[in-house]
Amino acid sequence: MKKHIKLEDVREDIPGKCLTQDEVLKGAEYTEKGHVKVYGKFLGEGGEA
Amino acid sequence: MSKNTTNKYDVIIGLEIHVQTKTKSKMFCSCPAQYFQKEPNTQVCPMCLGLGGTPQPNKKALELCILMGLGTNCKIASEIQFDRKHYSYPDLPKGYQITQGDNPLCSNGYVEVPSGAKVEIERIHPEEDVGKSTHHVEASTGKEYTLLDFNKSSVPLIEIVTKPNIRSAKDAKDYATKIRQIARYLNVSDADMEKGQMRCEPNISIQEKGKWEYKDGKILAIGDYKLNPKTEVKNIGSITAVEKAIEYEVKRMIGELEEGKSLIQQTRGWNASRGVTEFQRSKEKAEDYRYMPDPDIPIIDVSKEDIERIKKELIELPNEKIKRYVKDWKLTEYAADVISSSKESAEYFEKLQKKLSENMDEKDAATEASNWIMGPLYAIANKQGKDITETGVKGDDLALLIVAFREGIFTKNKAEELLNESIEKDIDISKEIEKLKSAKESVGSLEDIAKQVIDENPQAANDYRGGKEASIGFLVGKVMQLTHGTANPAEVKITLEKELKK
Repeated sequence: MKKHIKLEDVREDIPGKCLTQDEVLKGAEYTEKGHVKVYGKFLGEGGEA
Repeated sequence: MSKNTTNKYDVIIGLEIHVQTKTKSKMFCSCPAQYFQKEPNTQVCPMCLGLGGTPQPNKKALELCILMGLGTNCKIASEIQFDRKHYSYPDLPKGYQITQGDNPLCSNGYVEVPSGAKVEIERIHPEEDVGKSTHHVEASTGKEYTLLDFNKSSVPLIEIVTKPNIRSAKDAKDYATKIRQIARYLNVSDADMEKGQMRCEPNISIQEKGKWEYKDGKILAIGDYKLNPKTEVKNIGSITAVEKAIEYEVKRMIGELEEGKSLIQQTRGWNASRGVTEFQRSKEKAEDYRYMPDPDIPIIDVSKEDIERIKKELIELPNEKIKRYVKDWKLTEYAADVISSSKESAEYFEKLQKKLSENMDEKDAATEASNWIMGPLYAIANKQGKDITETGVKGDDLALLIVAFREGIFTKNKAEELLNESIEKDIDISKEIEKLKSAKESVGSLEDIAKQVIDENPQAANDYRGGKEASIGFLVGKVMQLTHGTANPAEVKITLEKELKK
């Protein structure tokens, strides 16, 4: 059975530390102006949310 | 399109609205949720990059979702169960979005729109946003490529889905406006569509009159009638565009049917500059997103005490304000709607009304406050391109002006002039009113001033007496000068005419 927690025990809305842009992009094969660059045409649709 | 053709069909609209909730951190990690104008890929961590980690829901985002549900008359679930919605796209690196499937946090609500229609809300649930992808073609090679920025990845959203019970483009626009107002009143979201904080996606179908029915939140065919498929419209960048896109789409669909073509289920994009919807893709089958419960996130129990605590943040909302202003203070529906369009505007109005009530009946105070806000104050705000609360006109100053105007100290034009000066030159309104009061007392009666002006300007007076009626304008101007603009021009004209006939 799945664990239950109380709403009051859920993470507080406090922002924390992020990766740097360099850390994010170091694994990308291609980059451009701070973005990850991916070649090709994609099926479906972005921004689905 | 002829009216007969339009009258042959009913329009059926459902609206899906995404609103970014106002939190400091993201939905499932602690990265900052503010990504607007930030350097790309600087507000991310391994969790929101899909590289691993356990999702940690954000309490504030869940509470804001509950608050939005309470503000739209929804039933709140006692448990929050998150699900994974699977699909593949580069802006969703983990291959699924964390959202809610069959058990939304809020359900079965409604929002009334000005036409009197009650738009039924099927569900409101929390979820995470995806990254931002932009598509390009490389000039040197002609290759297509996509640039990805993950700052938006996992920013908290609430999705608000209506049942298909909206029957006109106007109602859809009004409903979207109400949702934006409620989100802003409750401080759930800034809901700025230009910044992507609110997105509206209508789905539209047209059905022949009398051949379908609306039952249990669904559109059902009557007899052997085959329901027409629906179109989903994306890329809508403003509330006004919601109405325009739906109107365009309805005309397009009716046109297709009248030409004997059959409609297909599809997604279209709104092209605001051309004012048309454009084909994006067909949706012959419903997508299979392979929803499954997220195994990493526990079920979150929402107690009655939690709901009661959140309910305390539920303030009087626009529709309630409109009803109260109309019932208690006899404002018109239109005035009440305009004034309550933002929380700040309504608060300004109520403070002004309260201040004016010290000098007059509370209904008169409401009428005066509404007239002055919707007239001179909105004119100033429009000129400045700001909200009325940002114009710099203090409510207390406006109250002083209104009272002085009602006492006949000066004309409405003079009052508006003073209002403008109070912003441009930062003058003290109460001192100006005192000055004008004493100036008026010192210049004597209007009859005396009229006599003085006639004596000092015999040529204009004789011209008028000789039949040149326009010359009275010159004399009125002279009296207005002597009274420092405090006299009523219509009254001045009548007084001058009387004196000139003597």
